[in-house]
Amino acid sequence: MSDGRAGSNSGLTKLSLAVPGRNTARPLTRNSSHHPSGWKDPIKKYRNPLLPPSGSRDREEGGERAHGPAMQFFGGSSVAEIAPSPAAPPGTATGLARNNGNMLYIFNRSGVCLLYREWHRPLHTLDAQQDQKLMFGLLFSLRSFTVKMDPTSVDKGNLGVPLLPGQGCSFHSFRTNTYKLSFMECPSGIKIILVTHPKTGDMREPLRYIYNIYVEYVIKNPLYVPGSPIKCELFVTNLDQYVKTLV
Amino acid sequence: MAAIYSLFIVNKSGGLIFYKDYGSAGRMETNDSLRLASLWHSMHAISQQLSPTVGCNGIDLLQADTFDLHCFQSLTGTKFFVVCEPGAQHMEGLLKVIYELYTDYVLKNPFYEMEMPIRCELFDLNLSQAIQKDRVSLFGR
Repeated sequence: MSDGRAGSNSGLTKLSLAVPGRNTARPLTRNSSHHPSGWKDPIKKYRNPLLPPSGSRDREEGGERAHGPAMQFFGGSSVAEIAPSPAAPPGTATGLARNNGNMLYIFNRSGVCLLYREWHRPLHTLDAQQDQKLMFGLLFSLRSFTVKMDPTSVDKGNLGVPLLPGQGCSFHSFRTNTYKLSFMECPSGIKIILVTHPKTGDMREPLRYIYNIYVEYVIKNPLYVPGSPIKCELFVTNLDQYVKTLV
Repeated sequence: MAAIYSLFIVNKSGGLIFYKDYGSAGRMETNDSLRLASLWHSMHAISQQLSPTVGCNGIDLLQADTFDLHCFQSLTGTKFFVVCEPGAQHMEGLLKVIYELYTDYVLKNPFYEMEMPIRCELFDLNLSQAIQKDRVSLFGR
């Protein structure tokens, strides 16, 4: 499977160039992906799928974010709201230049690490596989911890019972003196974990943006087998580019 | 509306030595508070392992959907953590004050055995005063 990946990316390009919603004149845009004319367009074209499909409704829904899990997870359209330009949250005043990303993990619901990216990590305490397992374990336990700790709900269930995505009180970040970890879980159980400099701002929107490019370049890739490690070049380059802009 | 929901003090081996609730919804069972304390102890340790750079001291702040958890670890490994409303300010300062009270009224108490649950009247008294003061100052703003 893995050696066929290089070819898969070009297939992905074709598809993402012709995402429905952009070409409103043509109802069957997916078929137009076989049209060779659009293939060699400049990179600007790739960004188009990430534009909000129909602006006004999305803006209304996505205006307020802290509405609890349902809003955060299922307001899929609000993801698009932040999409137009991969702008980092402004004015976080870290006094730092760009390149604040340390590493990124993507797990599926069964704990398989689909992607591990590393940009700045001088310290390795464990080998890669152990490290990923430990990370998943930490998130799993922190999730049950926050559900049980939740001071606003009366019935919290038992500690350690497996939780469905979005069930109970979740967490979105924690901070230590050397790093900040931001966490997002989507309804399908995909977990995106971004580790950045401790002084970076709120990473919830960047995470949603990353989820957005994941959907565009990985899920919409016809050659991607769900549950297998991500080897989509387009996704990784876009991800790298975006993470560089985070402040 | 309470700014602070609860306070935990965990000894260096992960045992809960002090727990006080300041008005969270629902009742936390004793066993559950013990479990949560030791769970936090291990999460704290694991977070150090996962650090991308050297010199990590564990989690300072956990931001959940409905609460923030601020944690302070003393040099001897005793952990103090408060569960408060999201976005509550000056919790680091409060934790330092609580640590000070702990050193003054618990550690200097000749009848207190190290790493054992805290049962010191003066500590309770001063702690509730400190929390009260903190609440007043929060309301004052």
